[in-house]
Amino acid sequence: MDRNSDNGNNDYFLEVRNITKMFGQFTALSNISIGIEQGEFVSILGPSGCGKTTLLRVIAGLEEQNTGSVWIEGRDVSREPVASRKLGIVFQSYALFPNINIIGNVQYGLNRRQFTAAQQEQRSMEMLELVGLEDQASKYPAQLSGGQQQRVALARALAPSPSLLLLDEPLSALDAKVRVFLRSEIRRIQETLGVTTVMVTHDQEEALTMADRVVVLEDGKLMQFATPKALYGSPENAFVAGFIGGMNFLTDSIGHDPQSIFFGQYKLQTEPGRAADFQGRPVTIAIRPEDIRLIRDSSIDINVLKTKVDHIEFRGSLYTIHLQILNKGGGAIGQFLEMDLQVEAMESMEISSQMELPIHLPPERLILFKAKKAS
Amino acid sequence: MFDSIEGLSLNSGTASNQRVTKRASAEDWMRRLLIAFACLWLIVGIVLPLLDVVDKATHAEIVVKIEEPTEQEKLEDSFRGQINVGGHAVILTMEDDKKETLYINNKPVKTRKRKGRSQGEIPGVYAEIADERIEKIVCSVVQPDITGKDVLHVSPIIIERTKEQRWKVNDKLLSLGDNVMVIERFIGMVNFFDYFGIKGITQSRTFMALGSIFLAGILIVFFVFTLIRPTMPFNQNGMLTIGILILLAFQAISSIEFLTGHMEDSGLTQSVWNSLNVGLATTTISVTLAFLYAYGIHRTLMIGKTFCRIVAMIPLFAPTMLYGLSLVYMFGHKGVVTTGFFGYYPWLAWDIGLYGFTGIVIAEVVFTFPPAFMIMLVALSNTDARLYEASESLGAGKTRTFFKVTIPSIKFGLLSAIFVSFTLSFTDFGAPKIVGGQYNILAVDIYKHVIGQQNFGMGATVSIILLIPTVLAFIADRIIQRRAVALVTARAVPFAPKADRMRDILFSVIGMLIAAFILTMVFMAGVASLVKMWPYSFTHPDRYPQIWTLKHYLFDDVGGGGYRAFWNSIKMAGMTAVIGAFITFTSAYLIEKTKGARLLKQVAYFLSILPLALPGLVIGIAYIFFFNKPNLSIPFTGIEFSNPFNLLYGTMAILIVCNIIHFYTVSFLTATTALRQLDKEFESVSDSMAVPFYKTFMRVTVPVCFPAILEIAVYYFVSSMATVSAVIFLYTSDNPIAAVAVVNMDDAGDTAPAAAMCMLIVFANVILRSLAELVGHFFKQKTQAWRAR
Repeated sequence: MDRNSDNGNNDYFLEVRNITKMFGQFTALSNISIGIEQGEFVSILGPSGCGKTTLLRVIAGLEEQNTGSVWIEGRDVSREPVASRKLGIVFQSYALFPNINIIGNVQYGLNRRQFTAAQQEQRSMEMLELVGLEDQASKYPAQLSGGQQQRVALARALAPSPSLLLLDEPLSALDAKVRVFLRSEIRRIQETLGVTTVMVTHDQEEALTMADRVVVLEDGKLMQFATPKALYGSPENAFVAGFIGGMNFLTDSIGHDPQSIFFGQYKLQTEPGRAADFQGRPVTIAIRPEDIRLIRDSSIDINVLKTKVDHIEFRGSLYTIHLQILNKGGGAIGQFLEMDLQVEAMESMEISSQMELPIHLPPERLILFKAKKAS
Repeated sequence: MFDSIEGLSLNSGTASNQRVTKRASAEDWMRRLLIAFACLWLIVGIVLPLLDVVDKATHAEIVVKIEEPTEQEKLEDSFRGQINVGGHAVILTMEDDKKETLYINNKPVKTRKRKGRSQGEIPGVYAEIADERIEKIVCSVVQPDITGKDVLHVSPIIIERTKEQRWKVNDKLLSLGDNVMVIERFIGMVNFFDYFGIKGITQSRTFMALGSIFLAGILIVFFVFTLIRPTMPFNQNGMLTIGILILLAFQAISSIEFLTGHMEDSGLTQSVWNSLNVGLATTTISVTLAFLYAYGIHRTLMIGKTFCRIVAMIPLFAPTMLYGLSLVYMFGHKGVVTTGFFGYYPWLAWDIGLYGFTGIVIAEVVFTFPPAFMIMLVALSNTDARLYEASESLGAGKTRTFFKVTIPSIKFGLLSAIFVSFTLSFTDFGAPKIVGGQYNILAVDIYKHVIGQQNFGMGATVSIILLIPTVLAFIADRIIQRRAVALVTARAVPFAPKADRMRDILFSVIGMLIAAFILTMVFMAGVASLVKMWPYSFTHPDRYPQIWTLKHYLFDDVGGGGYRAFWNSIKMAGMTAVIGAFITFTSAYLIEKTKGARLLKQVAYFLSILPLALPGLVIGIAYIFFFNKPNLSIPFTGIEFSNPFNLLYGTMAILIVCNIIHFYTVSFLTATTALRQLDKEFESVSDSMAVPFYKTFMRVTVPVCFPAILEIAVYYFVSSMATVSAVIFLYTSDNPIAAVAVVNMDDAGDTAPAAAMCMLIVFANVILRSLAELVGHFFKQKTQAWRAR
């Protein structure tokens, strides 16, 4: 995971090197290194308690890391206080000053020495226009809706022209519709200003739709740092695979040769060479629900599993079919699969509960992970 | 620990593995400096004066007085010098036969010659004479009380004539032209044993007794612990419990035997029990009544809830002397009730035996009622109605619900109310001073020792005895409050009582009776203060035709300072309110909203909570000692410098400092609670935008917390107006205080003017409270826009 820190100093706009943060005996962050480029929108994603907010606060300088360093524009700011890091921060609670009106909040961070009063006002109005709230300037925060408050917080953070924008779960307190609208709003504003942005979120949809690249954390460890597409298509480990989107895991498998794996009585083909590292070793096979195929003609004869339909869930645009895997003799082996099926396919195949259904696992869609020791 | 070890082991690796400590900015240093300053002032205001109390209680002041004959006297008289030390008199005379004669304590002492000097000795006192002069005296036994027979063994006091013909006491030169020196000697617990009437114990036995009491204390704690957790691994089959019980009994018996063996009759011991009795009786009655009252207001549909709420707060505005005075006018020798309405309704006459226990407890119940009631009301409101619905739906009856839901949910509040009531009533001075009669209690004892007898050592001793239960209550309360967890979640449903005719009528009656009693207690004295000649204006209307008058409000011909005292009190309370609110809120802000500096913050927090454990009298006496000292010294270094705080002594400033400290904790906690309701990230936001913290403090924190700040200021004002305990030791005739004037006028028999002054205090407080309400209302209206929702 250290590869980013080997790339020299000046390639990245923001660089976090080998950050470790302990709270007493609890390790909140363990040796995290990431590099973020100028103008990039990076999202930090992970389940609650994984250390994502801590990482953001370390970058901001609101928490002190135990070891490691933070570099902004090639400068080591690890020992700098928050004030000299030139950041804009939007907090989960927005932390708008309740007794100051909207425009006052936005110009709060504008220095008297750098701006005259007129300039301050002009800059604040520009920011409010950018977030589409210019008509609310004289109101107080309590008089605005949650989504509007969120945008004021964004305008306030952006007003002093920070070189780096940090967003801590900016949308989590809002209801679903406002959230979807604000996602594109924030991204639009970020692209307009070209400000490098780091956003913390626990909502994977938010991370995948908004970010250029996503940092996935679990238990304070960096799981993967990649584009949304790469995270989905080629997760580096079982955690990322399971955390992003739906995923089936098949256990009790052992690698056979570079392109095949034994799964119970079945032998599954993989993409040539993909199983090379697992020969003779226990392995977990992963496949996404939408990648499982029905067998419509007899030309397919590899990677075919016998299954029985356990139950069927109607999901609106598609069906999710829960399958129980059977061995070749027809007995249950205690492992299950979920398969997503279009409505049209479902109806043409006349699938019903408890019927036997052979399925095909396309070799190029099988993802392999080292099996966990416990299982 | 672990971090640093890891850091060290990785040091050989890359540089980035070193532990990162953020550079503190100038602002961080400023914050830390301010917190350190807050600590410092609290140390000067609390810790140092308290240490002086301990010092005074465990040291005896021994007076050394040296008299030498003038040249004239040497020729004409036989007198050749006298030295008094620790109650002994050493006198040298030349008798008729020109022979030196040494008298110690008026008895001639035989001397023998050695190395050219004559030496004489009685047990504890040794004298050397040469050339018709006293050269040296060593004294190791002193009599602290000249009239008593008790002696104390102390480390030797050496009085010597130097070669330069000056006197030296224990290596300290007596200044020229001066012949008196006071030196302090450690006497350990002697004063305490004295107070309990235990006499004739040597130092070593003192420490033994102390040790055994300490041991017994530890065993009791241990015993209670085994009771609470009988499953402790080493508590096999309860054997340990039994073993501890036996040890405890043995220890207790031997301690009691030892102590009673040395105990003589002492009226003073009684005041400890009296104070405890008053505290316990008051607590029981006050908390019970407060619970019923609060229960009625929160859980029933009794009538006049708002009225009852307001009435319950009125006693906060009055000095406790007022309740004493009202009781005197009702149940005293010439009281309305005692005399059966001045003989008009003789069958109603009822003498309750006011003076003493009864009177004190009634007054203290009124005094402790408001805080107990407020705590109970908050505890009752912090309950979730869903618990009651659940209990009901599960088929539990009313009694079961009461014991399984109501009591557990208010138990922390209940305990808190008990501790507060006990501490307040145990340490109050005002009411017992008025209606205590011959019934001695600790607080009045302190007053008598200090003001009456000028016996500061004993005053300090009793102060420490007074402190023990209050500090224990304080510690217990802290431990319990730490365990209290919020039972109420954000989703809790507020309780809405349902109608229940019988219950509602019952609680309406109880509530009205209590409210009526409080009003009577506050206004009885007020009515009486308007009567020209109590009780003769009523009993002999023929001779005293005029009943009503305002002349008592003129304060002519009475002591205490009259209106000068009143306006001076207003000034004092006003300044206390403004300065106190500023200091308290700023300190609370710094402690609550500063990052890092954990140890410093913890010290500051502890010091801020500490004043809650200190009764006003103790603060007052501690301030006499500390601020009156001419010199301060740093222990173990021998460095001594003149006391800079001595300047405050006898000024208005010391009264203000004393009041701020006295009422610090409640204000501090109010400020802390208000600050905790603010968004945690306000500081982070302004930090990230490089806005200095004091700007955000002024522009955001203070305006948003303004209602709390106003509340704190009002609390300081009202409390400072009403309190007498701390300031009674610190006022001067230049700085008279209204509450003290009440005590002095009552002492002088001017009861009606005393009552009049109490009423003025109440009026001032009510007016200020109303003004504050107005300001608060105005503020609310003006800020409605941002307080919406």
